[in-house]
Amino acid sequence: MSTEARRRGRFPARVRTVAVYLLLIAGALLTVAPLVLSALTAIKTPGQLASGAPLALPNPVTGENFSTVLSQGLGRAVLVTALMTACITGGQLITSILAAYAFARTEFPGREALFWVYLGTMMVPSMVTLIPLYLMFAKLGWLNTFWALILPFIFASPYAIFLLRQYFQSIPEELLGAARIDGANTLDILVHVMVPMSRPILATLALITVVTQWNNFMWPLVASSGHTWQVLTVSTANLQTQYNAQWTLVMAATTLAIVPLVLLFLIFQRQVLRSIAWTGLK
Amino acid sequence: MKTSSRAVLAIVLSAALLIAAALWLGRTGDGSGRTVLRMRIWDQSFVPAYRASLDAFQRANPDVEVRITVVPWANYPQKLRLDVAGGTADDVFWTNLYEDYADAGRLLDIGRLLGPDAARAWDPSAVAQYTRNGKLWAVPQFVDGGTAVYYNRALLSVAHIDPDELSTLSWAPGADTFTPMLHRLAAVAPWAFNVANDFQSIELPFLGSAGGQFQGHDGRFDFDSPQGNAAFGYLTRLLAGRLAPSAADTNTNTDFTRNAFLQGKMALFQSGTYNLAQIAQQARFPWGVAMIPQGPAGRVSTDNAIGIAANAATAHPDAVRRLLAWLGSAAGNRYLAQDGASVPAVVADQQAYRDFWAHKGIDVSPFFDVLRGPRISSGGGPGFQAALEAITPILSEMYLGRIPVPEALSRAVAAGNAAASEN
Repeated sequence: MSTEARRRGRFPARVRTVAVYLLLIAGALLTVAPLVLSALTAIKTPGQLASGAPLALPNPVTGENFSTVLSQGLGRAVLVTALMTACITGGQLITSILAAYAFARTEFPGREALFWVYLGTMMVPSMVTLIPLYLMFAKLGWLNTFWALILPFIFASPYAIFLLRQYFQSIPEELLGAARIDGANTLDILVHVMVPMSRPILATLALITVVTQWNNFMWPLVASSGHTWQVLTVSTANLQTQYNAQWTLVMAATTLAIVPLVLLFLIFQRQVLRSIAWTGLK
Repeated sequence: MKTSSRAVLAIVLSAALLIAAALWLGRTGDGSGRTVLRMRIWDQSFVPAYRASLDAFQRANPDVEVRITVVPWANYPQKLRLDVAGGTADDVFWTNLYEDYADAGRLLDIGRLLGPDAARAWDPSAVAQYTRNGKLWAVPQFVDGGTAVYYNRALLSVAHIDPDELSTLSWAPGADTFTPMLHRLAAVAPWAFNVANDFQSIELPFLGSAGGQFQGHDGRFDFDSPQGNAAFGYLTRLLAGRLAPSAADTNTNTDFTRNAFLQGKMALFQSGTYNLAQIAQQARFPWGVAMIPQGPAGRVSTDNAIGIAANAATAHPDAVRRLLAWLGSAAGNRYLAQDGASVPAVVADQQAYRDFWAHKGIDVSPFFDVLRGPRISSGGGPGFQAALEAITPILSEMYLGRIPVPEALSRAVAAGNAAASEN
């Protein structure tokens, strides 16, 4: 075999490209298919779904499932979920930035030990803290309030602190020194140096927090009862009755539920892709 | 103002805005001086009927407002347990597994609350289901009726089977006419019958028709009896003969068999009244309802009821008493029958249900006629929910053919008793 042939390998470049594209298309289909199935089911009547094949096209197309779920309070649940998610994401970002900066750039006794202990709480499954948390809120009389939805999650999470601390440590110390020489205090450094330089990782963190909270089910289910503070996930679960899963309604609700997340990703996709390049997160 | 100070100010203003939005979203009427009662149910589809009933109640009781809370069925038992323990449960709530709460003194005694005569108006089987240690612990709201067989008239016609033949069938050993019938139906449809890990529609009727029981009088599970082996052995043989959909499909999708019937792929579908409205609405072929096949012990069905219990920790016992009296009255309970979705527990209202379906040309009498014979209890008692959760996966494995029937039943009984005793 000639050197040129060896360099090209056993398969021509075009074959390799086609194989890679086929693999990517298969991956894309696997990813998109459930969403398409969900959207298709959402515009079918229950009769069509029950009597036809799952992949059959809707005929006729109906918007009744959407109007039904909205009339059953899904619109309000979207508002509650959006508000809860906004509060938690904002709170998490602010407190995580402050904590990560402290762990990355300030010196104080026990800093490393405190960081690792805090990080260690990531290993505690959330189910373990569910009942104690419930009892605490019950004693305080805060169940079925907005505070019950947001307080357990609004402060910096170990994961967020870890991610930001690593990023903050990669910012050259010289930049911070220069800012101090220019008379900047810690708040100025955070606002003018650290945060602007950390936009990609902050966008990623915001997106992860939004998706996590948007999909949070167990705590909102436990902490709230009734219509007032019902979130999207609980409202969707309510559509499934004992003897009837009502898939057309559930799919209409989930189709509506993912729209804000898709929009958010489209808006922040550049920052997210940049942070993936930096962190290697996928 | 420095940029960093402006950033802090922006954060504070944003937080204030979010809190204002939360306060706006969280505003709820305080009842305008009225007593506010909360009523918890697990089925969103009952909200319109209950709302209509409660509106009528509120017109007669202007000092009381009743708000309905819907909790997802899948998480209802866990959340109810947590809320009762945490002292935050609603004033009244649906329950079908009330024993733990009654034994712990968490429920109001309905007999004492409404008087001993109240129960006379209600379905006797429902009253028996909610009676424990001589006391009544819930106001029955609706009953499921018995189990019957929905049949696809078109498929029966292709197989040259008269629907009247269905009500003469038996699966008793030595006199089995049901299996040959299923083979004839399997020749014209992908599946002849539904066999699945379906507690109420399949397992209890077959177990009862074999002369077995799910629990003994002492509350211990004992369906690993010879009768249990006969019933479950028969069901697994139907699966092995490909007369029913594979357990791989039905174990994970409880709607599979109903959808197969609605798709015209299944000739016979054994189920209860809880699927009647959906089948009437969605079936695109002529269909009817027949009696379930007889077993060695005849035709035996269960008749489960759903009742509404009163939280002993309610702050408004008098308003709760008036509400329960209304929900247990013929006038208050009849709303649940208005669209044929459920059989009211007030006996006087049950004719309204039959009339609704008769008006649509559907004879629902097999659901009621089967209850003239012996019945099998659907079970209950402390830890029943935990026991069911231990039993179900073992039976699923049995239907998949991974565990022989005697071993599966023996393991399921042991697991169920262990789970119940740990509770």
